[in-house]
Amino acid sequence: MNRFLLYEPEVSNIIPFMVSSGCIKKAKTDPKAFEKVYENFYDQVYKYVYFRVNSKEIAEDLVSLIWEKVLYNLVNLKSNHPLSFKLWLFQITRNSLYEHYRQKKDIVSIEDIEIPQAEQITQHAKDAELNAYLLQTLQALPEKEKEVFTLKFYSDCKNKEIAKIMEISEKVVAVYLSRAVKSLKIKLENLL
Amino acid sequence: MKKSFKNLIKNIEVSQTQNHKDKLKQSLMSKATHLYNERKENEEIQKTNSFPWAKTLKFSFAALGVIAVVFIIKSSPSGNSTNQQQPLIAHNSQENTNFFDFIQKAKAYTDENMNKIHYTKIKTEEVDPTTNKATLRSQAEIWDDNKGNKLIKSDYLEGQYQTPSSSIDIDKVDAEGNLFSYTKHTKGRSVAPGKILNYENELNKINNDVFCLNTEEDATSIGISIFQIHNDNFSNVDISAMTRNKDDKSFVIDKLFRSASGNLSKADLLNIIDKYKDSGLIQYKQITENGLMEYAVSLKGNDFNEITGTSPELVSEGLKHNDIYTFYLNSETYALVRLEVISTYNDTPIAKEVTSFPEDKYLDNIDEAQLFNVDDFDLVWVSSVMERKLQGDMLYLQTDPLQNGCYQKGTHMDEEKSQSYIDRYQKQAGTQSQTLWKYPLTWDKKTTLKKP
Repeated sequence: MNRFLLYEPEVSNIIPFMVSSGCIKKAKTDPKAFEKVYENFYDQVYKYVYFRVNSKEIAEDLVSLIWEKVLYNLVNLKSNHPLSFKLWLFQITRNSLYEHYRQKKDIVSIEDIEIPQAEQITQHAKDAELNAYLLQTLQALPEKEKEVFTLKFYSDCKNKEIAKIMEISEKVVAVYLSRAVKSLKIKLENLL
Repeated sequence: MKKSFKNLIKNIEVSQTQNHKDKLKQSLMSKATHLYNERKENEEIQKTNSFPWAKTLKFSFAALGVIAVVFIIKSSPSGNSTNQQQPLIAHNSQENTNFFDFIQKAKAYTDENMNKIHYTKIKTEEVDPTTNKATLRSQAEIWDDNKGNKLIKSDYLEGQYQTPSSSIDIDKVDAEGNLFSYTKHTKGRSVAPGKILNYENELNKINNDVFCLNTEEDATSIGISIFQIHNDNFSNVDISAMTRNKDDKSFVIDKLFRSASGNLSKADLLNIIDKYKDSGLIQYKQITENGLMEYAVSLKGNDFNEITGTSPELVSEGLKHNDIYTFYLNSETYALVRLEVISTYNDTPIAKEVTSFPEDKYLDNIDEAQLFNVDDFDLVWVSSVMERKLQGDMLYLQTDPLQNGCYQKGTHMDEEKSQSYIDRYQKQAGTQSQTLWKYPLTWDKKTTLKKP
């Protein structure tokens, strides 16, 4: 039994969701409810995938695949709690990513990613350049740190959720997060 | 103008198109409508056709789902094997009321063909085909036909695996246990006849009893169990099971257990099964003469071919290169461990933390050097980063990360060599594992560190 299917959040940790348990339940049989769920979680999933693969095209393909899996298997999700759904959703997302990595032949080593020097980016640099630089810097993080960081800042996940999604403890999440922030701050020093 | 860190990070523009979101939504809605209607219709049909006895039967066979199984024995005591599968006992819900009866039939048959038969009952209970990782629950039972006793009944084994796409048929084990071959199938296609687990040497040494059980119905479901038992000790124990749902063909389950060394008592084996029941991993444990504890844990995919090479030291133990990560520790040995776990299955990275790791110690100061009493380690099954810096000891981890993310003990491996492994791995494994080799480690078992 997948532990996520059984995970019921503590009441004190319940975070507000745009969708309710009723909506999740209904989404298993009602396309309209499913649409609502989709609207609610699409961005979180997309951003997570995007930052992991760093490619719009690949991200879109993967996200499409992920949501198809969600559609076809939502009926098997036993809990209807939005948080349980979110954890389940991100588990599917992660697994899809792993599958993508597995099939990917031309993985570029992290060492091969060139990171421009921060000095090269002036405060007046164009937004696009800045954005590209930020992305590259983020991409250069170790995978775990990047994943935690992405879930935290771009998929709006709480530490507790990240811990469940990644199957690590909250403390480890905090450590990864701390490392990532520390690392990024150093690299982005000139911009801060 | 300088920005706050949070603003800077939050404002990273994600390349995203509304178009994709809308198109995908449209597509999903269309599929959802069709899917839900179809399910509704199926439910109604099922209600119409449902009978009470069918429900009972369905419950009884929850383990098997709708998989009907045909046992096929491909080996004979004379050693004559054939590449053609010969149906042994047809099993389906029409002929048998429970799985146990089926096993008894299989037992009776094999009794006539082999002097001693040890067999397993493998029960698949639940699989989640949602993601590419199937969730497995299965129960294995080992029976000793000579005594008519059930030796082992495992707890439910649970593990998550990437859905494999291949299966393995056991082709032959001769009467002396000299030959042991298999045919690997990928998606129903026979692709790789070969030896299994490179066990010939071990098999030659042991006049063992071997049981091969091959269950399958068409090319989509298969289960394999192999046991070799010698003088009441279990040697070279393998349990593997693969099953694909016959109906939806959406998953294959793979459960593996393995003890690659001899002198494993029943008690040890029971202990192991108990230990690994939650991990679903292969492992090995032994208390050696000098009191050292050995733990060997491996992630092993369904592709036995990927196990290649042999470490000289591990050969003597019957363990295989790339297959096992072993470390030796005694009660006075303390290790400075920083653990980042990245496991793989079939070359697919699966991030996983070791649950049995003493989290309180580990997590309090993860960035700092930590001393752990290794006895606290229930099981360290995959550790990507281990670091030890005590009194100038140099310990490196020699690994071959190309093989399912498994690790093995590296002995007397100098830093340069270790680095070569790291370099090789980084080139081939790509970004997913770039954190693995940050801290090379070789465990020198001759080094004993005293508790500070």
